[in-house]
Amino acid sequence: MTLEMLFDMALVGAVVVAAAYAINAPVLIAGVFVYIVFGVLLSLVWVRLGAPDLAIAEAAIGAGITGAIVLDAARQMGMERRRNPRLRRWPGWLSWAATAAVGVIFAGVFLTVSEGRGDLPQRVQAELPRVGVENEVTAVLLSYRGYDTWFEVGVLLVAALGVLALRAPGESPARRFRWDPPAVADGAADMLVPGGILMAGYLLWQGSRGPGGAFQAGAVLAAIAVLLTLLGRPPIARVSDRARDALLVVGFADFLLVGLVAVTLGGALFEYPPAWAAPMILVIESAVAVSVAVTLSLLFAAGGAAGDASEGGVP
Amino acid sequence: MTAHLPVLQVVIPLMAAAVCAALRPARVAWAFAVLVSWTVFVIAVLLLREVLAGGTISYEIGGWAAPWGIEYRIDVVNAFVLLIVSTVGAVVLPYAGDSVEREIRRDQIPLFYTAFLLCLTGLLGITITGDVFNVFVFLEISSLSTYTLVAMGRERGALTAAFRYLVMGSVGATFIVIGIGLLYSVTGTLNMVDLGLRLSELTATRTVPVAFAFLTVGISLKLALFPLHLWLPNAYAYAPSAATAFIAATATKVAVYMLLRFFFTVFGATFSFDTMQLGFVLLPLALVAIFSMSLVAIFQVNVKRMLAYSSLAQIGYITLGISIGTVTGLTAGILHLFNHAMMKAALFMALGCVIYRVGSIRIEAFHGLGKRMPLTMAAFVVAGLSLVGVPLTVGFISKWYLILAVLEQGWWPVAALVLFTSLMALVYIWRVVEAAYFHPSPTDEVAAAVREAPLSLLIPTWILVVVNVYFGVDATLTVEVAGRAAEALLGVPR
Repeated sequence: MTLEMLFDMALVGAVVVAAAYAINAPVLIAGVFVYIVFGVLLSLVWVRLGAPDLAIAEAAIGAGITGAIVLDAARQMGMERRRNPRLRRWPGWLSWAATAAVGVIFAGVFLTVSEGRGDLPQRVQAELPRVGVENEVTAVLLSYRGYDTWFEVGVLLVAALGVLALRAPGESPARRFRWDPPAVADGAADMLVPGGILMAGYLLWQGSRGPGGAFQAGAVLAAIAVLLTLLGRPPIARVSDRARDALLVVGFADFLLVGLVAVTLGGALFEYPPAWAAPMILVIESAVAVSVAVTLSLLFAAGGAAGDASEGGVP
Repeated sequence: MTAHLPVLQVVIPLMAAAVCAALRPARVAWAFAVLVSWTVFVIAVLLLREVLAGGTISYEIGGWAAPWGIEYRIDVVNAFVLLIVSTVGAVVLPYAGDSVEREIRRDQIPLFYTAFLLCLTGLLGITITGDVFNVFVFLEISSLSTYTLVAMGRERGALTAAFRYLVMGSVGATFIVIGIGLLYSVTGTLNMVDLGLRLSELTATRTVPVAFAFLTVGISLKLALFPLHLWLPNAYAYAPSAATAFIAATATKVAVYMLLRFFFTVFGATFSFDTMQLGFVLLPLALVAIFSMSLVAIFQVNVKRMLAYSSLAQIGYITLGISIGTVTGLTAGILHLFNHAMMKAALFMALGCVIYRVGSIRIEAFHGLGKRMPLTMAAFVVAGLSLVGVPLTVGFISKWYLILAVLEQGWWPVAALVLFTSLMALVYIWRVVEAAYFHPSPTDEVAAAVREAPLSLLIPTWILVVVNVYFGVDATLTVEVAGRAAEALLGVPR
């Protein structure tokens, strides 16, 4: 047994334990923390599976932003120390047994599933010169299936609109985070923020050649926005509602515009001429990264805005 | 231009949704949304005509041929579903103008129309595409916008209902994407026709049945098939009236279409019905749904919730038709997609009229409405009779073909159950009729002020009521299209 195998087994075991504990934690807040740990472990799994694109997205979105959203929700509901409500109705062992049963069934199903392999990856690889980028993930996302990705950007827009539609009247998001953070937190932010912005830019630029791209870059930017929000300096509060809406839409609109430019250059929608593909894709990805970042940070900042904006409790 | 109709069918409402979010005041957003819904309706009619005359349309997006890129593929089956969805959209949006102003906070109204158009986009997209991952993307758009629409309901319960729907819907979507992933892992393709060709050689592997199971459960959640229906009654009951009318008439129909597409085009009828014995799973669930949900409907005090339970029973009738697996059975199921969409939209719109004037849809609120709101209540009665399945309405045509399909198999008890549950529908519709026509109105001032609903609500409602009667008297068109769709799915040559 090699060291690598040992590591992988330990990793998988830790993922399973973290997932089960996050569901069955006797105190809710503990479940939330373990859920965040679960996200970090899962991103390591993606690294081991050779999917660094997913690893970055998982770490930033799965562990980072959703973790922050769930934690914030638990805090607002005053659940820090509350026992898991399900455990009042169900004895703890039954909850664990149900989790184990579902886990065993799914594991049993997936372990017996045969590993097939179509020839599509090879065909995609062979066509890369026609697309004009070197990274096959980017080629699939923005060229072959650009239409799907355009709609995925649309899905993010729907999520943001959904959150905006549910806001209480006249509520500005993120008001509840205005406080004076301790100096040490501010100092940490001074280091993390510029580094994060640099990393986002690198991921964006790198996307056409290697792992990275708009979603990863946007997620890292959003993680920074969440950090700043927690420190009482929400970036989203600095822009007007109009500007915020424009930033939400820019990725979606820009994606289509570039797709239409491809049409005027003689191709079909999203069929970029190979010589122009790399710059066109970079233009799309930059705008999408901005929209992803604004959407994700809005999801965090607007959470719980209905009604309890006043500090120190429920009105 | 006409060559691009397939992509315009989806892209027009999507772009319009983005524009709509920026439109102020609310009336402008509304007028714009109505215009878009009519354009979408015209495109759907043109597509159906083209398909009926010239056969299947294939449209490639991005210039990449099918297995790499995304293909839109329209045959009689999805052309018919496109027509159902866009018809309901084109009738409900004009109705929404006044109804929404009563039920939704003013500054939220443009966002309501945005979510409505996005929901329309998602449902049309699921229906039109020939690519399984594209289905998933559109499913996300339609689901997220539906949760938003439900959450906009004026009562607090709307938020809980939307959240519950979100949790169940996300579980369903996850199951669907796992199924799609498994199919991709064995075939290396996402195109439906391509999948169908490759899977026919691969059915012996274990992966394919597992994918089949995940997809069936995931889609059944979306479809609210008993026992995966728990999200539906509250979602329908708390959503704004116009949203309920639209969602109830279209969302579950599109889920049925997805089921049909996966069972017949992707997996193939032989695999679904002979290898996986689908009939034996769907039939009992359909029968339990029909009976138990009709029974629960009888005891509801909230009329909107009553109709929601009735929808669950109607989904049972549709699944019953599918579970038989014959041409007649499928014809009955597909026919009822259209017919149920028309009757349920009309009923929920009539309820919206009552909410507009009375403000409540509890059964007591209907006392004396037969006199005070004669046109609204008449619409409710006609659409209600259609729901029961009285001759000269579309409901009768559905039941007729369903019973025909059941008797072809010699299943007498099932036919008896269909007839008996129709009587149960009569009971719950009668409760409303009794309250409206045989109870005197309350004598207080509020009740005395109740008048007939405005024409802006009545005209769209009555258009659907007329459709219910028209296609009940002359069902040649609907039966012809449903029959051809069933034959196309089963691969029966004409």
